[in-house]
Amino acid sequence: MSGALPTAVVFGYLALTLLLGVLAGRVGRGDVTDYVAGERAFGPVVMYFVMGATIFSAYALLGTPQRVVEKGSDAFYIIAYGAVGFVPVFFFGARVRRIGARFGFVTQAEMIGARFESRLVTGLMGAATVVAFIPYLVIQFKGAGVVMHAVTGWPPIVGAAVAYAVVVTYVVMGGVRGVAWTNVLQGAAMLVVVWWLGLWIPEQLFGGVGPMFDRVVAERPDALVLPGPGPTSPAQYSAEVLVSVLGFTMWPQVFMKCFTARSARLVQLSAVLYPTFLFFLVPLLFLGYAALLAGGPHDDSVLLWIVARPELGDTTLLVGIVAFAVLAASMSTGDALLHAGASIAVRDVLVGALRLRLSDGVQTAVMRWLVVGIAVFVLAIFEAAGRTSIVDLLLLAYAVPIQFLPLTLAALYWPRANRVGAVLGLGTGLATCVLLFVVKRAAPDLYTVLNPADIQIGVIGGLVHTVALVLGSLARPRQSPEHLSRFAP
Amino acid sequence: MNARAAAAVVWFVLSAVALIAPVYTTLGNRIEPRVLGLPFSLVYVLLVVAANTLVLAWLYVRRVVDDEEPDPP
Repeated sequence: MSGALPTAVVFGYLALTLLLGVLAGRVGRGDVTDYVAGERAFGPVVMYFVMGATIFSAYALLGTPQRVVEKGSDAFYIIAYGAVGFVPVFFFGARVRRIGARFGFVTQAEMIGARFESRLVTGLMGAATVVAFIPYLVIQFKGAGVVMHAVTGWPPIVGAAVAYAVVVTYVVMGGVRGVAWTNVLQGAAMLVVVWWLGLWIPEQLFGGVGPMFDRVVAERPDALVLPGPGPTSPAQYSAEVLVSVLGFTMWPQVFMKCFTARSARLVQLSAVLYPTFLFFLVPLLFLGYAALLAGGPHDDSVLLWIVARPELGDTTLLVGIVAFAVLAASMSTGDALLHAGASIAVRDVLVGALRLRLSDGVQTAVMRWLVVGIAVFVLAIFEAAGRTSIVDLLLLAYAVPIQFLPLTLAALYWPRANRVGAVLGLGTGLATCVLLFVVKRAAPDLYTVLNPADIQIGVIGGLVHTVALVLGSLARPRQSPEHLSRFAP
Repeated sequence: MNARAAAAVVWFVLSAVALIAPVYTTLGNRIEPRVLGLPFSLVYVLLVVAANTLVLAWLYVRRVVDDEEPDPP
């Protein structure tokens, strides 16, 4: 599949991203508030793309059509959870932006830890976040490797290394502004490419989206409704939707973007506009149904497979364009994870929890080195990490943001919540997740006894967390009114 | 929280309920009626997205939630 034209598209894109990211680094003061939160000065266009492009990862592009081929309408869950999942930002985002500016917070764990006057809470949240980011990053690196391989023929690890060398460069030099400016380019590119392909390919292969669905209705009606070919039971589908809704806005790399907005009201606006990004998943569903009718493969190569159909004529350029879109998706999520991971490791773990007295300049320098360090670490485990173990680790990773939900809601909306409740809640919640994860790997029989319905471990951890948080808080007096008043809206 | 904001929270909870079993599986999980060729199972989900967007836009314009801040300059 390799050829000069797709290679030119991909490398042209990489060069442009690099340029944009490096230019972004030439703006701003370069201190911690600038490096992590862009001096709290992002406008509406940048906020829109930062929120949207960060969330839509390589997995959304490669995985959505794959899910249609494998499981049919089960793939709609990704739109279903997005319909509700981002709404909490509308409610808490303005308050988070204001409190952040008042105290100078740049991370989620800093804010929560300060509310509960607990370094332990900040440190635990920070450490759990960095651990959760690793498998999530591996997935992004894999996506980049797959498409770089399709275009250049290089081994995936080499392709991923090249793409992420670009990302590391602009994250190191540009900080969150590098992430944000490139996300505008990457987000716009994804939207345009995906809509164009999603309409054009059904047109070429089946005479349009309507006629394509006519054929799906005639040949594969099972793929249009639950339980589908998977099959997915209604209970499983509902659990997928609900679990994703609960964790969605608690991913720290998303949450901390509330601190970057120019105003509190702008955070709300990005929540209002966010669903337009959801519609970009619709053409990916179309491509999935096109691949289903055409007998495409069931793995993550299905998107590259459908755009390379010989009926479409000369597809070398198409492959390059899809590779470009997938790279954009991978990099726009991967850059936010690298940036947030390094920022959180420094602010929450080194400074917040361990009380290291680092000057502002040293903090940003350590963050920059950590961006490089995390990327090298992910590359190092790229090959070692087999497919299954990454999926397993993701299970643990997705459990982490759900643990932040009760804590964040209590911090913002429940004045009675105090340090003892927060420490007990977070501690028992995280411990429950890790314990269940280990038992599931080490003693599957015992796990079946403990969790017969196979409920997502994050949800069980979240329930334990909530109970401990409430009981612990009620057992001890509330924090001082002066302290609480500073966290009032 | 004012009454309209509380009503909005109830609305969004109900919209989540509408997307899962048994509501989705009873009302939405069917092929017909098709809209612009799309199966109803997908149209139903997109309608909820559209409805939630309209509610959010209304809340934003009317400054129902967290309204004590001026517009961005």
